[in-house]
Amino acid sequence: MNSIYHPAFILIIGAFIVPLIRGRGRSLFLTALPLLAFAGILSLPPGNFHAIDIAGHRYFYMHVDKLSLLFGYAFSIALFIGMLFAFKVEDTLQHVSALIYAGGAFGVIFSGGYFGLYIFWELMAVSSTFLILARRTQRAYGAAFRYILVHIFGGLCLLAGILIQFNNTGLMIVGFLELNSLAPVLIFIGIAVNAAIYPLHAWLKDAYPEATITGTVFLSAFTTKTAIYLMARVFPGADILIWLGAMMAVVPVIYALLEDDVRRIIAYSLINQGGFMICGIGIGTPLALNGAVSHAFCCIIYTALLFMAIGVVIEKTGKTKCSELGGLFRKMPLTGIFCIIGAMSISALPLFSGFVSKSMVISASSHGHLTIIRLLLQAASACACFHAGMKVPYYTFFNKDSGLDAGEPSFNMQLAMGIAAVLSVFIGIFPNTLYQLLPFQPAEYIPYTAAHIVGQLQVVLYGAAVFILLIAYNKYPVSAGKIYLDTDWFYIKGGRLFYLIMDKTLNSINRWCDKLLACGLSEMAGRVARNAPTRLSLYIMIPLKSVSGAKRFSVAKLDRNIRTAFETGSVPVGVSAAAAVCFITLFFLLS
Amino acid sequence: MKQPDNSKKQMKILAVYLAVLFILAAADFFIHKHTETSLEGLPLFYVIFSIITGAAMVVMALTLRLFFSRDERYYE
Repeated sequence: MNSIYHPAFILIIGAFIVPLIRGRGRSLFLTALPLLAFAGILSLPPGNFHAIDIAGHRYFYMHVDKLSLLFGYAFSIALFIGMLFAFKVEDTLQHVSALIYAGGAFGVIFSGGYFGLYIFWELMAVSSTFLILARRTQRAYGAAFRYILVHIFGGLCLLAGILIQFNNTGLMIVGFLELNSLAPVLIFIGIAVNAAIYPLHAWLKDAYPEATITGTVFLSAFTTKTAIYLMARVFPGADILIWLGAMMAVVPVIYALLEDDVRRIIAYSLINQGGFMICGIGIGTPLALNGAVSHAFCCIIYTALLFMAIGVVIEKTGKTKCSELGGLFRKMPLTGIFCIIGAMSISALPLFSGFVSKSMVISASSHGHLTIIRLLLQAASACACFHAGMKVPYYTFFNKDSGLDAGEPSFNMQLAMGIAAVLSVFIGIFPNTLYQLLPFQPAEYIPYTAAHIVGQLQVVLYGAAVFILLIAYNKYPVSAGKIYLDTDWFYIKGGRLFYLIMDKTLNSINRWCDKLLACGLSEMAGRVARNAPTRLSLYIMIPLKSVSGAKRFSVAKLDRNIRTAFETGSVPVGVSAAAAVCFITLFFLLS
Repeated sequence: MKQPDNSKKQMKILAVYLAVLFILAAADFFIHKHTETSLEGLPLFYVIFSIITGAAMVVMALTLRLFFSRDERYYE
């Protein structure tokens, strides 16, 4: 038996131990597990091998290289920060599902074969749903239901692709594929759903704002980023990803500008940031791929920071909307500062992490002579500053005082946000610490050139000037009590239409069958069984009475008498015998 | 107790911000740009680009609001 400490198993086994521990011990155990998982990652040797090897029986084929290790480090950090943030949360459901979810994410990034990958992929989908359900509101239940349905669709596409691929080539190894047949296309769609690629993105903005305060921090780190990892491993250089990524970077910005729910704004920003990564993967050069994965690394940290800061605000005030918040900086300055650091990182301001990673993708687009793509990415970058960089902190911590009662969160929450903030700044100032970990070495990129700093500051600060002008003239387009139709309209309304059609057709058939067979036929049979002896006797008795010369007999009276005789069981033996003889004769003649 | 004059403070911040914007615009004429595309080499390209992009996004957002805005209970 070999000695591989698979981080996924550490977390999943840990998840089953959690319900057995109570109080402070559980919190400490939960915080220790990410560190154990990180130690497990450090113990992994590079290359391909099986996680379990007992007397020749090998299970869970693994692939470890710089790409998977980079995501492993980022996931460890996100899990540690998330667990620290949730240190005082007393909800077993959340703890267990977060650990299984993170375990699934680690499983995906270290899977060398599609079989193991698919198991971990579905494990992630199911366990993450519980982080939404754990909010225990009607809206959360609805969002969780839609979330799991979308992910089941994505998972089935992935499974179908894997099976067709296996049938065609006999290969189950996770590696580069060309988008030239059905199997890779299905695998692509399966990954695209989780990566929230346009137009398959709407589940993200639907579900994440409805999850628990701590659940959103985990959700923001794992699902989209495992998909980004897989896209980088399986489809690097796929041209379609360049345009899909650019679209993904630009379109959510427009929605985020209008959106009133703060967590939904960050969810749209998350899609927008994913667009840069997808675009980088599509460009496919070493610089672009390094840029995409380093941006994923930074994005995991600063998005978690933003969700934590806003989560604290929601927990303290109970409000989630820009129109209901404001003026909280005086009451919670530290949280405000952390939020601003997250906002500056997502805006890619120099000295913050977003700058050193996003710049790589944008530079790669110019090296590839993709002028329109470069300009679209720059536009998305300028507007990221608009919605996440300016709008989120402004409407939450500044603007007019909402009069809401609030205060700084507990020390563990401050520490979690502090670590994420320090990391965001540290990577921004010392980018080489991140560049050393990138998959393509040597990662020779210098973000801090005078022209680049000035160019990026112009993009961000002049973009911010438009925001300031709109605020100054009270023209910023935020509408309270409104939602904006997105691509989820198709499956929400489509689902209802489908239900309506099924209700009208299948239920109509059901009702018709019920009426005809269950009610009609049995009722008829009952009626026949009840009336047949009377009728039969009557049909025999009337001619007999007529032939026998009985005068003035009434048919109605005869009918009543016979019916009473049958109901009371007082039929003369002769009549019964005559009826039986007639019946047998009739039966004999007809058969 | 005298309250701090917020409007004065805001004006100071705005003045600093405007000065930074001016310095950034002026810097464009002194810094050598090593660009792949000829467009980006033009002075003040990203200044104008950012303002136009910002305005365009707001226009697109307003257009989207016009057609795709619904009451928040729309799906309930």
